[in-house]
Amino acid sequence: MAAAAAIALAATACGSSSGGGGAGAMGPGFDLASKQILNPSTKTGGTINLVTSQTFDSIDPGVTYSAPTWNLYRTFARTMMAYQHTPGGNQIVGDLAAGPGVQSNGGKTWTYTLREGATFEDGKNITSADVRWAIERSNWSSLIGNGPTYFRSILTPPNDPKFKNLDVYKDGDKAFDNIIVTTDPKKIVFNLPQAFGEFDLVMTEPQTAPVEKDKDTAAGDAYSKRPISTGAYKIATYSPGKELKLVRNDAYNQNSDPDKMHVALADAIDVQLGVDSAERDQRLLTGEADADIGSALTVANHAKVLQDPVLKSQIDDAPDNSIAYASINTQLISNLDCRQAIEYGVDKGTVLNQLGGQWGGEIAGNLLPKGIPGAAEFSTYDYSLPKAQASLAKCKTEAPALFTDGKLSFKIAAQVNAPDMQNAATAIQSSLAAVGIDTEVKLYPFGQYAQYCGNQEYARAHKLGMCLANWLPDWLSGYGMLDQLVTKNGISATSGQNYAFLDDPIINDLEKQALASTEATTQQQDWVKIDHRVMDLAAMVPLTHRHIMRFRSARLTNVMINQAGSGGYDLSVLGLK
Amino acid sequence: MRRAPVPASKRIRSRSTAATVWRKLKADRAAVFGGYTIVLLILLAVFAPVVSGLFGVDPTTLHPALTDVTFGPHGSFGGMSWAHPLGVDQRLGRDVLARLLYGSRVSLLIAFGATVLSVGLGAGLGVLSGYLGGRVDTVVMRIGDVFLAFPLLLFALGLTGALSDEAFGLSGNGLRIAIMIFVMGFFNWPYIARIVRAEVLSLREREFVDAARALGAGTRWVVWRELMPNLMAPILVYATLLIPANIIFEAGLSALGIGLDPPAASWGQMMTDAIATVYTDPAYLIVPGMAVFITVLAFNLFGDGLRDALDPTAQ
Repeated sequence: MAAAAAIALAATACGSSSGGGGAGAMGPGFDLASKQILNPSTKTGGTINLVTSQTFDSIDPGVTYSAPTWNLYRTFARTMMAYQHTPGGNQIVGDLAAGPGVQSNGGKTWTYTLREGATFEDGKNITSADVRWAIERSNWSSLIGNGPTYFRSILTPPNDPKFKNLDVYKDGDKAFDNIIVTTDPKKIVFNLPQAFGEFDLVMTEPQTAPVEKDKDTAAGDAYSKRPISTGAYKIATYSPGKELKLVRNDAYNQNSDPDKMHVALADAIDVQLGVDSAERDQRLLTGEADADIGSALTVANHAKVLQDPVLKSQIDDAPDNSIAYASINTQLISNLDCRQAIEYGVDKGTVLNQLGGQWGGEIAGNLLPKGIPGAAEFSTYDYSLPKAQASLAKCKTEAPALFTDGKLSFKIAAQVNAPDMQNAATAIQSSLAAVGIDTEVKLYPFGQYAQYCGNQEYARAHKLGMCLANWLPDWLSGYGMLDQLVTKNGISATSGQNYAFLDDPIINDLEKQALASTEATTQQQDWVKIDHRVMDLAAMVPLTHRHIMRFRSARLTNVMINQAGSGGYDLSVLGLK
Repeated sequence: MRRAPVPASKRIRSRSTAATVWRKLKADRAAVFGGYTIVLLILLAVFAPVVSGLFGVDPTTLHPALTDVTFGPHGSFGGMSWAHPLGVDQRLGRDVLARLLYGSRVSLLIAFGATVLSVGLGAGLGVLSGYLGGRVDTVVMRIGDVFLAFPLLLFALGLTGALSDEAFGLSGNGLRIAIMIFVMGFFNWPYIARIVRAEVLSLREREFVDAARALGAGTRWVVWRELMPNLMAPILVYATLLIPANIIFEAGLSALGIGLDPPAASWGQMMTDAIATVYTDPAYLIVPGMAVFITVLAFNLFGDGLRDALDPTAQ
């Protein structure tokens, strides 16, 4: 029966797909792209058709801030450091830089050497001053706001008035002469006020892709409309919200790229933007589009693709190193036993089912996913109703003030228009009710979520006890995962990301120690210690380490899922059969 | 000689307007069907806990064992069974019948509340505007124009965002319901106000109104005793047609994410949730969709019948 259906589908699909391959063709197999290179090939030519239901926040690599755009922009923006193109890979190597930074001065000084022969698309040689300008313009100007601000917080002391309102377009960048030293056009030296052991990872950000200062006019505005390529592709046309067309950048000097970071097999990449997600799925399944730039298939199509052997051979369900979690407000629920009652009382199996079941991920016992170097998964609390009830009873005698009318009661926040997470909140509500904890689910809009969950005053006044959210680290390290979620850096007056309001001296010290260390393994161990400490304090309920179900057409070659693809398909290396 | 008894003349009883309307309405089978359905729906909504209790179901208990994560509930048609006559929902496994019954309370409450609010406001301002005329008329009608030009959905989005938690002594879903009633009711009054105003403009020139005024009747008398009886027909008809529109509007607001907080159910919320699975399991859309359809149809049939019955020229 299944075979007959597959043949019928293949027959109909051949008529509709002109490019050969596409839908109907048997793919290399289910869920393999994170483990091996699928359809390895060196064949060049053709146009890859990509699609996304989103629109780009910006086409400027220095301003954009989302996993799919980072993945895509790496095709035309050459960063200093980059993730290796290996299946499931999470290791970094030099891209524009010849290699990792050389540390001196106790981790406060980082020196990088640029590769020989790298040029912009207009043929001009790339110098260290172009990298310096790229970092400055995206962190100290009116461009700031949407993009990440790691350089801003790492390169200058916090709250230094000299840098706080600096706009390099207006005020010039003299202030950075001793911070980013570029006296040698082939060398760039960073002098940090404090040691930051993961500086190489920061250098993977698209903000490090060089920008020609004299072409960057109108305070970054002109450049933000049409960035000048430093990668193997360049922008042919871009109509915001509709389409981005990339073509091969003929000026790209392959000799400057000995590690083959930018091979550019296909002649062109066409990205259709803002396609409704149901329509997007349809295009993928019929072979009209080859892949999404980062998002998952909608849950409604999971059953369809899993039941059809041909479609199933073209999907992956790989972890993307993001986590779904529920924070516990440690200021509101100040008693450890009460928080442990919640930890024991959440039936994560039911929660996982709301988040896609076995295809949606794995039950999480801790925060750091195994994709992070050095991390090991563990579980401090396994679901146990008796243990939850015992902890709650203990809390009641210790902290009766937390109980109203004999019950621990609070609100659980989830996001509007996120039905999976809402159902997960409902499942948590139901399992906590069995423990005897009284909760109410409350929805907040996505854009302002942190202004409710991350606002101490609001959260306390409105008894926001738990907030459900997803976190995808900007880079794969304990810092990327934990800094904003559980340390004091994530707490701000009105909208931080540390929804648990966890300000624990041990955690804060461990972080400082990790960042001061120059040894990767000790850093990693410190992050694992923080992970354990957070669980011991019962400040977070990790729900699932998420898996994302993605579709790739059978005609794509060199398919792999890795960190260079921001947890999705590595777009920089794709080719066509 | 005894005179033969005069046969008692058959007394002709005059029929009141209400009796005529009632007689015509009863003769209209579609309207009767609509009316009965409306009564039934209201009873089901009011007695939702009792009815779902009879079936042994409730709207919030999860039955994870009854569903498969990827392929939905075990069994056909969303897992219909004797224990769960309309099946259970996709992943949480909550009983659909119970959610439908409890959802009807919210949907009908919002629809009725909003209708009463807009019809009350609109009729009042329409009479005022039409009867007093002049400057009052101009001001009221221009305000009405402003309201008509108001982007209702954006306002609803903003308002739910601004008053997200507690206001006016209400909190949680009580507040959400109040906001939805307010938004739908408060901004829809100009339609009915225009209809009523036009009616009043023609009525106030009629002889019976002149006569009443000549006999010394004050404004209040004229409005309540002379105008109102003649205005009841358009107002009632408009109200019965507005209720279904409001039920659909509530569904729209839920789809935009400004409906109720979970796990509360409303028909709109149920349809919104069903959109994700419409291809794999359309039953989740069909069940609340049919409920909305039946309600809307019942009110429309009843409204149509009522209009015919109230129209003195129609036989």
